[in-house]
Amino acid sequence: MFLATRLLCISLLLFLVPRLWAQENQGVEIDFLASYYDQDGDHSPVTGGRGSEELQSISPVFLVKYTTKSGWNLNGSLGADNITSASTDNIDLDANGVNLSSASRVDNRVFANLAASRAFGSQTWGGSVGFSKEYDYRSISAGLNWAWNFNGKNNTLAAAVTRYQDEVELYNIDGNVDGTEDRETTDLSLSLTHVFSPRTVGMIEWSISDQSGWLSSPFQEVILQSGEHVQEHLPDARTRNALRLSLNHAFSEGLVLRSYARYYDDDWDITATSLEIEPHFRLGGDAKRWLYPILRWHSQDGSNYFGLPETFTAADAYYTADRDLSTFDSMKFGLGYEVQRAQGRIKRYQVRATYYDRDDGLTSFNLSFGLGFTL
Amino acid sequence: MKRAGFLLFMLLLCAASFSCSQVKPWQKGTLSLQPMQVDDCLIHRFERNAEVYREGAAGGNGGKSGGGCGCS
Repeated sequence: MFLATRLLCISLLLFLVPRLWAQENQGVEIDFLASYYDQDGDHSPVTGGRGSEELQSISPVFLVKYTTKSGWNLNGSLGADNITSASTDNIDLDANGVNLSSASRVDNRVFANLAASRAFGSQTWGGSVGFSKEYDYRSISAGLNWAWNFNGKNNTLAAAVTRYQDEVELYNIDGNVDGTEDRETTDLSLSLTHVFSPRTVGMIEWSISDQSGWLSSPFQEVILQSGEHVQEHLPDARTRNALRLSLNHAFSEGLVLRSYARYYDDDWDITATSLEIEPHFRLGGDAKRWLYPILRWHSQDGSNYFGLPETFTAADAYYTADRDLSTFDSMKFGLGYEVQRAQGRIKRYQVRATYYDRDDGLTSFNLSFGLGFTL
Repeated sequence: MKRAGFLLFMLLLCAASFSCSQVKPWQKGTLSLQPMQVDDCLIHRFERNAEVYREGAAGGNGGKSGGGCGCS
Protein backbone atom coordinates (compact mmCIF):
# COMPACT_ATOMS: atom_id res chain seq x y z
CA MET A 1 0.00 0.00 0.00
CA PHE A 2 2.87 2.34 0.92
CA LEU A 3 4.52 1.63 -2.41
CA ALA A 4 1.27 2.23 -4.29
CA THR A 5 0.80 5.58 -2.50
CA ARG A 6 4.33 6.64 -3.31
CA LEU A 7 3.90 5.64 -6.93
CA LEU A 8 0.62 7.56 -7.12
CA CYS A 9 2.22 10.72 -5.67
CA ILE A 10 5.19 10.53 -8.00
CA SER A 11 2.88 9.83 -10.93
CA LEU A 12 0.93 12.98 -10.11
CA LEU A 13 4.17 14.94 -9.98
CA LEU A 14 5.20 13.47 -13.30
CA PHE A 15 1.84 14.53 -14.67
CA LEU A 16 1.66 18.04 -13.20
CA VAL A 17 5.24 19.28 -13.46
CA PRO A 18 5.55 18.79 -17.23
CA ARG A 19 2.10 20.38 -17.61
CA LEU A 20 3.32 23.54 -15.88
CA TRP A 21 6.57 23.51 -17.80
CA ALA A 22 4.69 23.00 -21.02
CA GLN A 23 3.39 26.55 -20.78
CA GLU A 24 6.85 27.80 -21.60
CA ASN A 25 8.32 24.86 -23.47
CA GLN A 26 7.25 22.69 -26.31
CA GLY A 27 7.26 19.01 -27.04
CA VAL A 28 6.22 17.52 -23.68
CA GLU A 29 5.52 13.84 -24.16
CA ILE A 30 4.48 11.19 -21.70
CA ASP A 31 4.49 7.45 -22.26
CA PHE A 32 2.84 5.01 -19.90
CA LEU A 33 4.13 1.48 -20.35
CA ALA A 34 3.08 -1.69 -18.56
CA SER A 35 3.97 -5.32 -18.75
CA TYR A 36 2.72 -8.63 -17.36
CA TYR A 37 5.24 -11.47 -17.27
CA ASP A 38 4.42 -15.07 -16.33
CA GLN A 39 7.09 -17.77 -16.16
CA ASP A 40 7.17 -21.47 -15.27
CA GLY A 41 9.81 -24.17 -15.09
CA ASP A 42 11.15 -26.92 -12.82
CA HIS A 43 14.81 -26.13 -12.30
CA SER A 44 15.00 -23.26 -9.84
CA PRO A 45 18.57 -22.54 -8.71
CA VAL A 46 17.17 -21.33 -5.39
CA THR A 47 16.44 -24.98 -4.58
CA GLY A 48 19.55 -26.44 -6.19
CA GLY A 49 18.11 -26.86 -9.68
CA ARG A 50 15.14 -28.97 -8.57
CA GLY A 51 12.26 -26.66 -7.83
CA SER A 52 9.56 -24.50 -9.32
CA GLU A 53 10.61 -21.46 -11.30
CA GLU A 54 7.07 -20.09 -11.29
CA LEU A 55 7.12 -16.28 -11.32
CA GLN A 56 4.78 -13.45 -12.20
CA SER A 57 5.77 -9.83 -12.58
CA ILE A 58 3.76 -6.66 -13.25
CA SER A 59 5.79 -3.63 -14.30
CA PRO A 60 4.35 -0.14 -14.82
CA VAL A 61 6.71 2.55 -16.18
CA PHE A 62 6.24 6.28 -16.79
CA LEU A 63 8.45 8.08 -19.28
CA VAL A 64 8.45 11.87 -19.56
CA LYS A 65 10.25 13.74 -22.30
CA TYR A 66 10.35 17.46 -22.91
CA THR A 67 12.45 19.85 -24.95
CA THR A 68 13.40 23.30 -23.69
CA LYS A 69 13.57 26.39 -25.88
CA SER A 70 17.33 26.25 -25.65
CA GLY A 71 17.31 22.81 -27.24
CA TRP A 72 17.87 20.53 -24.25
CA ASN A 73 16.08 17.19 -24.35
CA LEU A 74 15.19 16.14 -20.81
CA ASN A 75 13.98 12.63 -20.05
CA GLY A 76 12.73 11.10 -16.86
CA SER A 77 11.52 7.60 -16.14
CA LEU A 78 9.98 5.99 -13.10
CA GLY A 79 8.87 2.41 -12.76
CA ALA A 80 8.32 -0.57 -10.53
CA ASP A 81 8.41 -4.35 -10.73
CA ASN A 82 5.92 -6.21 -8.59
CA ILE A 83 7.21 -9.79 -8.48
CA THR A 84 5.45 -12.88 -7.17
CA SER A 85 7.87 -15.77 -7.15
CA ALA A 86 7.78 -19.36 -5.94
CA SER A 87 11.56 -19.31 -5.53
CA THR A 88 11.56 -16.02 -3.64
CA ASP A 89 9.24 -17.69 -1.15
CA ASN A 90 12.09 -19.96 -0.14
CA ILE A 91 14.21 -17.09 1.08
CA ASP A 92 11.49 -15.10 2.81
CA LEU A 93 11.88 -16.79 6.16
CA ASP A 94 10.94 -15.57 9.59
CA ALA A 95 13.26 -15.56 12.62
CA ASN A 96 12.61 -19.27 13.16
CA GLY A 97 13.48 -20.21 9.61
CA VAL A 98 9.88 -20.86 8.66
CA ASN A 99 8.40 -19.60 5.39
CA LEU A 100 6.23 -16.57 5.87
CA SER A 101 2.67 -16.31 4.60
CA SER A 102 1.91 -16.20 0.91
CA ALA A 103 1.79 -12.41 1.03
CA SER A 104 5.52 -12.42 1.71
CA ARG A 105 6.10 -13.94 -1.71
CA VAL A 106 5.59 -10.50 -3.25
CA ASP A 107 8.69 -8.39 -3.73
CA ASN A 108 8.94 -4.94 -5.21
CA ARG A 109 11.63 -3.17 -7.14
CA VAL A 110 11.44 0.55 -7.93
CA PHE A 111 13.68 2.36 -10.34
CA ALA A 112 14.10 5.88 -11.76
CA ASN A 113 16.31 7.54 -14.29
CA LEU A 114 16.98 11.14 -15.36
CA ALA A 115 18.74 12.04 -18.58
CA ALA A 116 19.62 15.21 -20.47
CA SER A 117 21.07 15.71 -23.93
CA ARG A 118 21.64 18.55 -26.36
CA ALA A 119 22.77 18.86 -29.94
CA PHE A 120 25.80 21.03 -30.65
CA GLY A 121 25.96 21.22 -34.42
CA SER A 122 26.35 17.70 -35.77
CA GLN A 123 27.18 16.28 -32.35
CA THR A 124 24.90 15.40 -29.45
CA TRP A 125 26.13 15.09 -25.87
CA GLY A 126 24.19 13.73 -22.95
CA GLY A 127 24.31 12.33 -19.46
CA SER A 128 22.11 10.31 -17.13
CA VAL A 129 21.75 9.23 -13.52
CA GLY A 130 19.58 6.47 -12.11
CA PHE A 131 18.80 4.27 -9.16
CA SER A 132 16.95 1.08 -8.34
CA LYS A 133 16.02 -0.55 -5.07
CA GLU A 134 14.58 -3.84 -3.96
CA TYR A 135 14.54 -5.69 -0.66
CA ASP A 136 18.08 -7.08 -1.01
CA TYR A 137 19.58 -4.91 -3.73
CA ARG A 138 20.39 -1.23 -4.21
CA SER A 139 21.91 0.32 -7.29
CA ILE A 140 22.94 3.77 -8.45
CA SER A 141 24.20 4.59 -11.91
CA ALA A 142 25.61 7.42 -13.98
CA GLY A 143 26.33 7.59 -17.68
CA LEU A 144 27.57 9.74 -20.54
CA ASN A 145 26.70 9.46 -24.22
CA TRP A 146 27.80 11.07 -27.44
CA ALA A 147 26.65 10.88 -31.07
CA TRP A 148 27.97 12.40 -34.28
CA ASN A 149 25.98 12.72 -37.50
CA PHE A 150 28.04 12.93 -40.67
CA ASN A 151 27.96 12.14 -44.38
CA GLY A 152 24.78 14.16 -44.86
CA LYS A 153 23.22 12.52 -41.78
CA ASN A 154 23.56 9.13 -43.43
CA ASN A 155 25.99 7.96 -40.76
CA THR A 156 25.76 8.26 -37.00
CA LEU A 157 28.65 7.26 -34.80
CA ALA A 158 27.67 6.91 -31.14
CA ALA A 159 29.33 6.00 -27.86
CA ALA A 160 27.91 5.51 -24.39
CA VAL A 161 29.38 4.57 -21.05
CA THR A 162 27.41 3.74 -17.91
CA ARG A 163 28.72 2.91 -14.48
CA TYR A 164 26.61 0.97 -11.95
CA GLN A 165 27.48 0.86 -8.28
CA ASP A 166 25.41 -1.83 -6.59
CA GLU A 167 25.07 -3.17 -3.07
CA VAL A 168 23.87 -6.73 -2.48
CA GLU A 169 22.41 -7.83 0.83
CA LEU A 170 23.61 -11.38 1.29
CA TYR A 171 20.58 -13.53 2.03
CA ASN A 172 22.13 -16.98 2.24
CA ILE A 173 20.45 -20.31 1.46
CA ASP A 174 19.21 -20.55 5.06
CA GLY A 175 17.42 -17.20 4.77
CA ASN A 176 19.87 -15.37 7.05
CA VAL A 177 21.64 -12.15 6.14
CA ASP A 178 25.45 -12.37 6.01
CA GLY A 179 26.13 -8.65 5.61
CA THR A 180 26.44 -6.77 2.33
CA GLU A 181 28.84 -6.79 -0.61
CA ASP A 182 29.46 -4.47 -3.55
CA ARG A 183 29.10 -5.09 -7.26
CA GLU A 184 30.48 -2.71 -9.86
CA THR A 185 29.55 -2.74 -13.54
CA THR A 186 30.87 -0.59 -16.37
CA ASP A 187 29.06 -0.78 -19.71
CA LEU A 188 30.64 0.65 -22.85
CA SER A 189 28.81 0.76 -26.17
CA LEU A 190 30.03 1.87 -29.60
CA SER A 191 27.72 1.92 -32.59
CA LEU A 192 27.58 3.02 -36.20
CA THR A 193 24.26 3.59 -37.94
CA HIS A 194 24.25 3.86 -41.72
CA VAL A 195 21.59 4.68 -44.30
CA PHE A 196 22.35 2.26 -47.14
CA SER A 197 19.59 3.42 -49.45
CA PRO A 198 16.22 5.22 -49.29
CA ARG A 199 14.77 1.87 -48.17
CA THR A 200 17.51 0.32 -46.05
CA VAL A 201 19.12 1.35 -42.78
CA GLY A 202 21.48 -0.66 -40.58
CA MET A 203 23.38 -0.45 -37.35
CA ILE A 204 26.40 -2.27 -35.99
CA GLU A 205 27.01 -2.08 -32.25
CA TRP A 206 29.77 -3.44 -30.08
CA SER A 207 29.22 -3.46 -26.37
CA ILE A 208 31.51 -4.53 -23.59
CA SER A 209 30.54 -4.95 -19.97
CA ASP A 210 33.04 -5.31 -17.16
CA GLN A 211 31.79 -6.54 -13.80
CA SER A 212 33.52 -7.05 -10.49
CA GLY A 213 32.55 -7.73 -6.90
CA TRP A 214 29.89 -10.13 -5.64
CA LEU A 215 28.52 -11.77 -8.80
CA SER A 216 26.93 -14.83 -7.18
CA SER A 217 23.34 -14.90 -5.99
CA PRO A 218 23.86 -15.79 -2.33
CA PHE A 219 20.48 -17.49 -1.92
CA GLN A 220 21.01 -19.86 -4.85
CA GLU A 221 22.18 -23.30 -3.80
CA VAL A 222 24.04 -26.21 -5.32
CA ILE A 223 23.57 -29.87 -4.42
CA LEU A 224 27.02 -31.49 -4.26
CA GLN A 225 27.81 -35.15 -5.03
CA SER A 226 27.76 -35.78 -1.29
CA GLY A 227 24.18 -34.53 -1.14
CA GLU A 228 25.21 -31.46 0.83
CA HIS A 229 23.42 -28.20 -0.07
CA VAL A 230 25.84 -25.28 -0.38
CA GLN A 231 25.69 -21.71 -1.63
CA GLU A 232 26.59 -21.20 -5.29
CA HIS A 233 30.05 -19.84 -5.87
CA LEU A 234 31.05 -17.86 -8.96
CA PRO A 235 34.12 -15.74 -9.83
CA ASP A 236 34.23 -12.12 -8.67
CA ALA A 237 34.94 -10.71 -12.12
CA ARG A 238 33.36 -11.05 -15.55
CA THR A 239 33.88 -9.40 -18.92
CA ARG A 240 31.18 -9.67 -21.57
CA ASN A 241 31.38 -8.80 -25.27
CA ALA A 242 28.46 -8.54 -27.68
CA LEU A 243 28.34 -7.60 -31.33
CA ARG A 244 24.97 -6.71 -32.78
CA LEU A 245 23.85 -6.05 -36.32
CA SER A 246 20.43 -4.55 -37.06
CA LEU A 247 19.11 -4.19 -40.57
CA ASN A 248 15.73 -2.73 -41.53
CA HIS A 249 14.47 -2.82 -45.09
CA ALA A 250 11.26 -1.46 -46.57
CA PHE A 251 10.09 -3.66 -49.44
CA SER A 252 7.28 -1.15 -49.91
CA GLU A 253 5.49 1.55 -47.91
CA GLY A 254 3.35 -1.25 -46.50
CA LEU A 255 5.95 -3.93 -45.70
CA VAL A 256 9.04 -3.35 -43.56
CA LEU A 257 11.32 -6.13 -42.35
CA ARG A 258 13.14 -5.49 -39.07
CA SER A 259 15.98 -7.93 -38.45
CA TYR A 260 18.65 -8.34 -35.84
CA ALA A 261 21.62 -10.65 -35.25
CA ARG A 262 23.89 -10.79 -32.23
CA TYR A 263 26.99 -12.69 -31.24
CA TYR A 264 28.07 -12.84 -27.59
CA ASP A 265 30.95 -14.22 -25.57
CA ASP A 266 32.36 -13.76 -22.09
CA ASP A 267 35.17 -15.00 -19.89
CA TRP A 268 32.87 -17.42 -18.09
CA ASP A 269 33.01 -19.44 -21.35
CA ILE A 270 29.51 -18.54 -22.50
CA THR A 271 29.03 -17.94 -26.22
CA ALA A 272 25.70 -17.28 -27.89
CA THR A 273 24.03 -16.31 -31.13
CA SER A 274 20.65 -14.60 -31.41
CA LEU A 275 18.53 -13.89 -34.48
CA GLU A 276 15.30 -11.91 -34.53
CA ILE A 277 12.93 -10.83 -37.29
CA GLU A 278 9.78 -8.72 -37.24
CA PRO A 279 8.08 -8.21 -40.62
CA HIS A 280 5.77 -5.18 -40.22
CA PHE A 281 2.58 -5.08 -42.28
CA ARG A 282 0.85 -1.73 -42.61
CA LEU A 283 -2.92 -1.72 -42.19
CA GLY A 284 -5.32 0.72 -43.86
CA GLY A 285 -6.76 3.92 -42.40
CA ASP A 286 -5.57 7.45 -41.69
CA ALA A 287 -3.35 6.54 -38.76
CA LYS A 288 -0.16 4.59 -39.35
CA ARG A 289 -1.13 1.16 -38.06
CA TRP A 290 1.27 -1.76 -38.14
CA LEU A 291 0.72 -5.43 -37.36
CA TYR A 292 3.75 -7.68 -37.06
CA PRO A 293 4.67 -11.22 -36.09
CA ILE A 294 7.72 -11.64 -33.82
CA LEU A 295 10.26 -14.44 -34.12
CA ARG A 296 13.49 -14.79 -32.13
CA TRP A 297 15.96 -17.68 -31.88
CA HIS A 298 18.72 -17.86 -29.31
CA SER A 299 21.40 -20.55 -28.99
CA GLN A 300 23.73 -20.49 -26.00
CA ASP A 301 26.81 -22.54 -25.19
CA GLY A 302 26.94 -22.53 -21.41
CA SER A 303 29.51 -21.91 -18.73
CA ASN A 304 31.62 -24.70 -17.22
CA TYR A 305 30.56 -23.38 -13.83
CA PHE A 306 27.07 -24.77 -14.43
CA GLY A 307 26.28 -28.35 -13.51
CA LEU A 308 23.26 -30.53 -12.87
CA PRO A 309 22.51 -31.43 -9.24
CA GLU A 310 25.17 -33.75 -7.69
CA THR A 311 27.76 -32.88 -10.35
CA PHE A 312 30.25 -30.88 -8.30
CA THR A 313 32.31 -31.66 -5.23
CA ALA A 314 33.43 -29.34 -2.47
CA ALA A 315 36.88 -29.34 -4.08
CA ASP A 316 35.60 -27.48 -7.16
CA ALA A 317 36.39 -23.78 -7.14
CA TYR A 318 33.19 -22.55 -8.77
CA TYR A 319 29.74 -24.06 -9.20
CA THR A 320 26.15 -23.07 -9.87
CA ALA A 321 22.83 -24.75 -10.66
CA ASP A 322 21.53 -21.67 -12.46
CA ARG A 323 20.32 -22.80 -15.88
CA ASP A 324 20.47 -19.23 -17.16
CA LEU A 325 24.22 -19.97 -17.45
CA SER A 326 23.77 -23.40 -19.08
CA THR A 327 23.71 -24.63 -22.68
CA PHE A 328 20.29 -24.25 -24.28
CA ASP A 329 18.33 -23.11 -27.31
CA SER A 330 15.28 -20.91 -27.01
CA MET A 331 12.55 -19.60 -29.28
CA LYS A 332 10.36 -16.58 -28.82
CA PHE A 333 7.35 -15.90 -31.00
CA GLY A 334 4.47 -13.50 -30.79
CA LEU A 335 2.47 -10.68 -32.28
CA GLY A 336 2.72 -6.91 -32.09
CA TYR A 337 0.43 -4.02 -33.00
CA GLU A 338 1.37 -0.36 -33.17
CA VAL A 339 -0.44 2.85 -34.08
CA GLN A 340 1.15 6.24 -34.77
CA ARG A 341 -1.13 9.29 -34.92
CA ALA A 342 -0.25 12.71 -36.29
CA GLN A 343 -3.35 14.45 -34.87
CA GLY A 344 -4.67 14.70 -31.31
CA ARG A 345 -3.05 14.31 -27.92
CA ILE A 346 -2.69 10.56 -28.13
CA LYS A 347 0.34 10.01 -30.33
CA ARG A 348 0.87 6.27 -30.23
CA TYR A 349 -0.16 3.02 -28.66
CA GLN A 350 1.59 -0.30 -28.79
CA VAL A 351 0.86 -3.88 -27.75
CA ARG A 352 3.17 -6.91 -27.85
CA ALA A 353 2.40 -10.46 -26.76
CA THR A 354 5.18 -13.05 -26.84
CA TYR A 355 5.71 -16.66 -25.76
CA TYR A 356 9.21 -17.82 -24.81
CA ASP A 357 10.20 -21.50 -24.87
CA ARG A 358 13.59 -22.73 -23.63
CA ASP A 359 14.50 -26.31 -24.44
CA ASP A 360 15.22 -27.12 -20.77
CA GLY A 361 11.50 -26.71 -20.01
CA LEU A 362 11.35 -23.05 -18.99
CA THR A 363 8.48 -21.17 -20.61
CA SER A 364 7.19 -17.64 -20.23
CA PHE A 365 4.49 -15.33 -21.52
CA ASN A 366 4.88 -11.56 -21.79
CA LEU A 367 2.15 -9.02 -22.52
CA SER A 368 3.28 -5.41 -22.91
CA PHE A 369 1.31 -2.24 -23.51
CA GLY A 370 2.29 1.35 -24.20
CA LEU A 371 0.36 4.62 -24.56
CA GLY A 372 2.08 7.84 -25.62
CA PHE A 373 0.50 11.28 -25.48
CA THR A 374 1.34 14.98 -25.33
CA LEU A 375 0.18 17.61 -22.87
CA MET B 1 37.02 -19.54 -36.03
CA LYS B 2 33.30 -18.99 -35.90
CA ARG B 3 33.87 -15.78 -33.99
CA ALA B 4 36.62 -14.58 -36.36
CA GLY B 5 34.31 -15.10 -39.34
CA PHE B 6 31.55 -13.16 -37.72
CA LEU B 7 33.88 -10.28 -36.82
CA LEU B 8 35.28 -10.22 -40.36
CA PHE B 9 31.75 -10.03 -41.76
CA MET B 10 30.94 -7.16 -39.45
CA LEU B 11 34.11 -5.26 -40.37
CA LEU B 12 33.45 -5.70 -44.07
CA LEU B 13 29.93 -4.47 -43.60
CA CYS B 14 31.24 -1.50 -41.62
CA ALA B 15 33.74 -0.62 -44.34
CA ALA B 16 31.09 -0.98 -47.02
CA SER B 17 28.81 1.38 -45.18
CA PHE B 18 31.23 4.28 -45.66
CA SER B 19 31.56 3.65 -49.37
CA CYS B 20 27.86 3.66 -50.17
CA SER B 21 26.40 6.61 -52.03
CA GLN B 22 24.74 9.36 -50.04
CA VAL B 23 20.95 9.34 -49.64
CA LYS B 24 19.53 12.85 -49.98
CA PRO B 25 17.12 14.30 -47.39
CA TRP B 26 14.19 14.30 -49.82
CA GLN B 27 14.71 10.56 -50.37
CA LYS B 28 14.29 9.71 -46.69
CA GLY B 29 10.50 9.61 -46.45
CA THR B 30 10.37 5.84 -46.10
CA LEU B 31 13.18 5.91 -43.55
CA SER B 32 10.97 7.97 -41.24
CA LEU B 33 8.44 5.14 -40.89
CA GLN B 34 8.32 3.87 -37.31
CA PRO B 35 9.42 0.28 -38.10
CA MET B 36 12.48 1.65 -39.91
CA GLN B 37 13.94 3.08 -36.69
CA VAL B 38 16.97 1.07 -35.57
CA ASP B 39 16.07 1.37 -31.89
CA ASP B 40 13.62 -1.05 -30.35
CA CYS B 41 10.07 0.20 -29.79
CA LEU B 42 9.43 1.43 -26.25
CA ILE B 43 7.65 -1.64 -24.91
CA HIS B 44 10.28 -4.03 -26.27
CA ARG B 45 12.32 -3.13 -23.15
CA PHE B 46 10.27 -5.55 -21.06
CA GLU B 47 11.23 -8.53 -23.21
CA ARG B 48 14.85 -7.38 -23.29
CA ASN B 49 14.86 -7.28 -19.49
CA ALA B 50 13.50 -10.82 -19.31
CA GLU B 51 16.18 -11.97 -21.76
CA VAL B 52 18.87 -10.33 -19.61
CA TYR B 53 17.61 -12.34 -16.63
CA ARG B 54 16.89 -15.65 -18.36
CA GLU B 55 19.94 -15.84 -20.61
CA GLY B 56 23.50 -15.70 -19.35
CA ALA B 57 24.49 -14.11 -22.63
CA ALA B 58 23.16 -10.63 -21.88
CA GLY B 59 24.46 -7.50 -23.54
CA GLY B 60 24.52 -5.89 -26.93
CA ASN B 61 20.88 -4.91 -26.80
CA GLY B 62 21.36 -1.47 -25.40
CA GLY B 63 20.03 -2.94 -22.18
CA LYS B 64 21.58 -2.90 -18.78
CA SER B 65 23.85 -5.51 -17.32
CA GLY B 66 23.92 -4.03 -13.84
CA GLY B 67 21.40 -2.35 -11.62
CA GLY B 68 19.27 -5.35 -10.82
CA CYS B 69 19.78 -8.69 -9.18
CA GLY B 70 18.26 -10.85 -11.92
CA CYS B 71 17.12 -13.25 -9.27
CA SER B 72 14.37 -15.87 -9.21
